[in-house]
Amino acid sequence: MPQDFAEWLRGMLRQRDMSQKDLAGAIDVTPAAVTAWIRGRSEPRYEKIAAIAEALGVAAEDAVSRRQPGAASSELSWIFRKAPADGGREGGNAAAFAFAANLEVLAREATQNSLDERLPGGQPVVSRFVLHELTGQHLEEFLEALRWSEIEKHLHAAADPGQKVGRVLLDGLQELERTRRLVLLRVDDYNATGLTGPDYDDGRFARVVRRTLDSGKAGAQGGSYGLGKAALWAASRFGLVLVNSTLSERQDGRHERRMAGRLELPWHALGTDEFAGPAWFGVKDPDRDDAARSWWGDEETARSLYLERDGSAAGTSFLVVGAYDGSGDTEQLEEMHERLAAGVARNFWASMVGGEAAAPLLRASVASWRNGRVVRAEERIDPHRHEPARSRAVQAFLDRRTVLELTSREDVLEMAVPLKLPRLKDGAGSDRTSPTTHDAVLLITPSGDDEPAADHISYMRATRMVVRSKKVGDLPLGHRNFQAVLLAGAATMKDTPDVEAAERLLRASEPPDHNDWTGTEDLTAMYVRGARQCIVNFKRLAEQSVREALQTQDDGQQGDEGPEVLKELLRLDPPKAPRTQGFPTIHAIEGEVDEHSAWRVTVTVKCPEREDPWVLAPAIRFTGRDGGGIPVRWAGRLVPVKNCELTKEGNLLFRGRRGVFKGVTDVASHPVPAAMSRIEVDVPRAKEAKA
Amino acid sequence: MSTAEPGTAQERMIGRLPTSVALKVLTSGVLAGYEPMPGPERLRRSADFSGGAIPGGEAEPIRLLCDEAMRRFRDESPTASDAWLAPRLHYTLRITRAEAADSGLWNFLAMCVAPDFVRWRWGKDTEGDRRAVGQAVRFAGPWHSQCFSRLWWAAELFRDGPDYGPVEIACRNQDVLNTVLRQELVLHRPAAQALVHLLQSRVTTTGREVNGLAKLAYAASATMIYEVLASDDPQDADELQDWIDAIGDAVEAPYDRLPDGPDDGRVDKGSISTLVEWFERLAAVAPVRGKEILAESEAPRPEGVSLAKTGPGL
Amino acid sequence: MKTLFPYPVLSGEVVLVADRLVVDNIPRQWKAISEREHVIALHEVKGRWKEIRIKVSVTVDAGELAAGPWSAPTCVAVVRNPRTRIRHTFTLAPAGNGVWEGDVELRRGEQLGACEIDAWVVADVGGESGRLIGTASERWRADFEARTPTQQRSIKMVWKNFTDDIDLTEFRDDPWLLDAQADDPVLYLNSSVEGLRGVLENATTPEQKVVRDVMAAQIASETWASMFNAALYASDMEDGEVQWPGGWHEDVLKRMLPDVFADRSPSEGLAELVERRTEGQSGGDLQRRVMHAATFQSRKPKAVAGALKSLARMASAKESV
Repeated sequence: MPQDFAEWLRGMLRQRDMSQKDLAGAIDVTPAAVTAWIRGRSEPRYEKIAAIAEALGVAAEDAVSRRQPGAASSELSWIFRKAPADGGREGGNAAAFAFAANLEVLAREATQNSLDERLPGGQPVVSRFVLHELTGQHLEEFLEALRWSEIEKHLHAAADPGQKVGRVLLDGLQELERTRRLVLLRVDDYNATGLTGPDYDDGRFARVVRRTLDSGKAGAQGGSYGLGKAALWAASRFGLVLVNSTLSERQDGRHERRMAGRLELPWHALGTDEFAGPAWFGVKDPDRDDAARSWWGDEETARSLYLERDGSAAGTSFLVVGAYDGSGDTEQLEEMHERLAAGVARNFWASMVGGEAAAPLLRASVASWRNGRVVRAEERIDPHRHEPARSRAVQAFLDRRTVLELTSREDVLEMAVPLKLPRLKDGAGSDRTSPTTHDAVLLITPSGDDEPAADHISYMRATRMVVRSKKVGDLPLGHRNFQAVLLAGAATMKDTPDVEAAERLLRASEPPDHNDWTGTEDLTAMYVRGARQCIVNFKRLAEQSVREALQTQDDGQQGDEGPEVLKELLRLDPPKAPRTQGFPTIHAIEGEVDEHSAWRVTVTVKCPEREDPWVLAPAIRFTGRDGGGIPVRWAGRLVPVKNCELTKEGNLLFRGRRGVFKGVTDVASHPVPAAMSRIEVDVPRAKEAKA
Repeated sequence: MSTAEPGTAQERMIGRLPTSVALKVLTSGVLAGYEPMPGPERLRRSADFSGGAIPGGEAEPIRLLCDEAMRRFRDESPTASDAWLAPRLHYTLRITRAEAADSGLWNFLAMCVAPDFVRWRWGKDTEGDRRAVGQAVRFAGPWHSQCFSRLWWAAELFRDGPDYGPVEIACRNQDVLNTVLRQELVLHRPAAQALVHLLQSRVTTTGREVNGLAKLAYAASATMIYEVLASDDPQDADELQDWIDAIGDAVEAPYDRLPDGPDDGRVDKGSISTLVEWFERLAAVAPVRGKEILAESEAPRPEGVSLAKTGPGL
Repeated sequence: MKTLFPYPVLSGEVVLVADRLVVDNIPRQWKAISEREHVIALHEVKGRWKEIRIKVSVTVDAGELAAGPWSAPTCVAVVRNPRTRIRHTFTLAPAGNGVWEGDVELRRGEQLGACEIDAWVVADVGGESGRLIGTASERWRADFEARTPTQQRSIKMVWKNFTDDIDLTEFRDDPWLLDAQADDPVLYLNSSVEGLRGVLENATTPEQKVVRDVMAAQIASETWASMFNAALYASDMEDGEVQWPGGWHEDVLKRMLPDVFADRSPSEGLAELVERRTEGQSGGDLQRRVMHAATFQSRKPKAVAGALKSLARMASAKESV
C-alpha cells in the first residue's frame, strides 16, 4: 500500500475541500473519531470506509485501497500559469527550439525514449505510431472532450505573428478554421516503465510533464526522457500534447490511465490578465495555486481523447494534437505515415533486428485512421526491408553466424575494434582492477549497388539506435559496396566489466542530440585528460579496420609494373563516353517490320551546332551480335520529317539541333528476313561535292 | 631472354620468338627469296624457353610432319596439305588454347623449325629459282593467317572431341580456312559441326556457300540465340589436360589414318541436326540479297590485314 | 548504339551480378569482386589454379517479364575470351521473381588475360523460340592480370637493360622503346640509361620532378602515336563496313579516335582512315591529327605548362636568395 489511511483521508478532504466536521456529520460519527483517523490513531471499520467513500464521492475500492479516486471528466480543466510578477515574458518552450519540428526527428526521439524506458525481462518495447485525421462530427467531439473552448482564446492571444512560435500557432489556428481538419498523432509504447513517480518532484512523470528543460541525464536513469521529449511538443501546431500512461509501479495506489495534458504557449495576455505561457490539463490541485494534477481517468474519457490503450502492458501514450511536419513538405496523412516509418527505420533498424541469441529490442509499427476508419492498416516496420544489408549484418551477429573472411554477398565479417577506456576523474570505480579496454564489434557485409548510402559505418551502443552513420573515407579503388556496423558497449552482448565502462564513456561522449561520439562537456567533466582522444582514436581505428578489410592483398609487387607517373598516362581501359559528341548521333529510332517484311523506321538525329548544315548519308544495317553486321539499302528516297531536307544526291541536309526523317528498307537487300534481324542506323557524313 | 647453349636439350625444344624479332628479320628481300633467312641458331638466341609453357614440347616431331607433308603433296598444290597437316599438327603439338594464343610459339615454328615448309606452302616460284612468299604474316602474323596457327586453330575449332574427321573436311576448303574460321559462329561447337555436315552431305554446298551461310547466321544471331536452341556441354578440361600430359608416351601421328584427339566430349548430335535445319531454313528464307551472299563468287577477300603489313605510309 | 528489334524486348535493366568466387572449390575473398566496376580481379590466382567458378545472378523486372508477349523465358550467362576464342554459355536456373542464378566456369587452359561475362535472356516470341529479349546492362570482366578489381589498366611496362639484350642492343642508347607487335604492347624502359629509373620512379627535388613530368608526357605521347598506327594497320574494311580489330588495338582506337576526328563518330573516323590507307593516300594530315590525339592522351599540355611554371618559380626563388 502506498500510503496509510490517515494520509489518504487527509488528502481527500483537502481535495474535496471538506472539513473534518462535515465528514463526521455526513457519516454520522463524532468529529473526534474523524480526527483520530486523520491523526492515524485509529482506522475505521469496513462499513465506515464505504460510508466515507460515499461521502467523499469516490468508489469504496478507492478508500479500501487508499488510492486516488478516478476523476470524472467534469472535474477536468485547463489551468494556465500566471505570468511572473517581475513581468518576465517567456517566448515558449525553449527546448522545443532545439529540434527541427519534423516527423522523422519526432520518430527518432520518441522511440529513443521508449527504448531507454524498456522494462527488463527481454520483451521488446513495442512502439506504435497512429495517425488520426478528424473532421466533422469526429472533430467536434474531440474538441469538446479536450475543452478546446477553454484554450482557444489563449491560443489566439498567443498567436503573435512577430514571433516564430506565434506564427506557427497562427498558422495552425487558421488552418483549422479553414479546413476544419485536425491531425492527431498518437505515440504509444508498451513494455516500458510508463510515467511513474509523483506529480511533482522527481520522477518520470514530472520529468515529462513538468520539467520540460530537464534532461534528467545526471540521474542514474541516464538519458531517460531527455530533451528529446520536446520533439513531441514541437510536432504539434499548438504545442499541445496529452498523455495516458500505464505504470509499471503503482502511484497513489493506481497504475492504469494516468492522464495529463500540457500546452506550451508563449507569454500572452487576455485583457488585463497576463499568462506565463504553459498550461496543464487535469484536476485542479487544491494544494497549489494555478496547478493541475494528473488524473486517473476512466475508459470513456480516454476514448474520447483518443488515448485509450490496448491491454494492460505498461507504457505511455502521447497524443500530439495538431501534428504536422515543420519542414512543410508533408501535409497528407499518407505522406506523414511514410515519414514516420522512414524515421523509425533509419534510426532503429538495428534495434528491430532479432536473432537466435537475442530477441529484438524494439518492434515498431505505423497506422493511419480517418474519422475512425482505417486508411493504412497497422504496418510493422521491417528492418530487413528498409536496410537489408545492415540488418543482415546485425542479425548474423545475433545468430552467431559471422565469418572471418568474406566470400559471398550474404556473408558478414566480424572484427574487434578496441576502445581504450580512460579513467574517471573522481576515482570512482577506477581502481587497478577496472578494465582499460573494451573490444567493440565491427561488422562488414556487402551491399547491393542500388542500396542508398553505400559504404557507410553506423555506430551504436546499448539500444542499438544509430548514433551516427557516416561514409567511410579513403576507400581502396574498386572495392565492393558494403555496409559496416560498429556495436559498442552493451550492444556487443558481452557480459564483462568493460561493457558497463564503455557504455558510460560513450554515453558521456554523446552530445544532447545523441548523434555522435565526440568531445562533450560531460566527457571533460567526468574523465581524466585524453578521454576525447580515446573516442577519436576509436572511431578512426574502426574506419581503418574497414579499409583494411577491403584492401586487396597482393599489392606488394607493384614495383615491377613500371613508374606510377606513366601508368596514369598509359591507361588502356575504355574512357567514359561523353554524353554530347562533336558529331551527329542517333537520338532515337522507332519503327516496325511492315506487311511486306520491310523495316519502316523513324529516326531522330542529334546534330551539334555549327555554322554549315550537316549533310548526312544515313545508313541502316542488320547488326550482328557485337556490332558490325550487314548493310541494307533504303527503298527509294528518305523522307524528311523535321529540320532536314533531301539533297540532290538523296542525302539529308540537317538544320538545327534535332532532325527527324523516315525511311523504309529495300527488302531485296535484306540478307535474312527482317523478322530475324536487329537494326541500327548510322549517320556518317555524306560524300558529296559542295554545291 | 635466355641464351641457348649449343648441344643442350634446349636446341630441341620449342620456344617463343617475339614478333618484333621475327618482323625485323622478315625483310622484303628475305620474303622474296633474294636474301637468306638468318640461321635458326641466331633466332633461337632471341627466343624464350622459360616458363615451361609447352613442357616437353619438342621441335623434332613437328619438323618430321612438315617433311612428310612436303613429300606427300610434292605433286599436288601445297594447299592440299592443309587438310592432312591440321589434325596431325594439333595431335603432335599438344597445347591449350591459352598457350596457342601466344603468337611467339607460331613465330618460332615458322622461323626456327620449318621456314622451308612455310616457303613451300605459301611461296610462289619466281624467276631464278626463287620462291617468294607474298606476305610476312605467313611467318609471323595474326592467328588466322599464320601458316601453322591457322591450321592448329582450325583443328581445335572443328574437331568433334577426339574425332578429327570434321577437321579434315573443313580444311579441304580454303574458304572455310580463310573466312569461316574467323566468324564467331564456329566458336559454338554444334554450329561448327553443322557447317561441316553441310559441306560433307550436300554435294552442291561449296565453301563459298558455307561462307555465306555463316554471314547470314551472324545477321540472324542478333535476335536468335543458337546457343540456346542447340546447346553444347562444356568440354572436359581434365581429359584434355591428361591428353596433353600424355605427350611423352603418345605414339607419333599416323600418316595414313587420322590420329585420335583428346576425348573431352563429343558434340551433341541433336544440337548439330537442330543447327543443320536452322541453316537450311536460313538459306531457304533468305531474301534476294541473302541468296546473292550465298552464291557470291567473288574472290576471297584479300589477306591484307596484319600488324606486319608494310603498306604505303599514311 | 541504339538498336531496334522486330519484336518487343525487355525495357527494364537486366542486372548481372557476380556473387561468389570459388577457385578449385575454395571460396575466395569477396573483395576480389567489384560490383561498381563490374570487375573480378584474379591476379591472385594466377598460375596456380585449375578451375574457377563464379556464382552469378541475373535480375530482371519480374512484372515486365510476366506481362510481356513472350513465353518460356530462360537465361544464360556467356563467357567469352577473344584471345582463346572461347564463347561458352551456361544455363542459369530460375530462382523466381525475375531472378536466375547459376555458376560460370573458367578453366585454366581456356583463359588468358581477361574474359568477359555477359548474360542473355532468351524466350519464345511469336511462336519462334530462342529469341533474345535482353542482355546484361553491364557486362563483367574477369581479369587475370588485375590485382584490384577495377577497370583501370595500363599498358605493360618493363625495365630492361638494353645493352644486355640480344634484340634490344641495337637500340642500346634509346631510353625507351615500344614493342607494338607483341600480343600486348610492351613499353621497354632502358635501365642502362643512368638515372632514368631514379627520376621516373623516385623524383625528389623540384628539378627532378619537372624533368620527370615532361619526360613522362613525352614517353606517353610517343607510345600512343605508335600504338595508334599499329592499331590502324590491324583494322580493315569488309563489305563496305569497317571491321574493328578487337583487343588492345580497339581499345587504343576507341580512346584516340574522338580526338583524331572531333566531328566524326569513331566508326566513321576509322572507316575514313582505313580507306585512306588502302588507297595509299599520303598521310600528312593524318599524322598531324594523330600527334594531336597522342598529345591529348599523354596530357602533355598540362605537363609542359606545369614544368614552365615550376621553372619560373625556381628562377625567382634563386633571385630572392
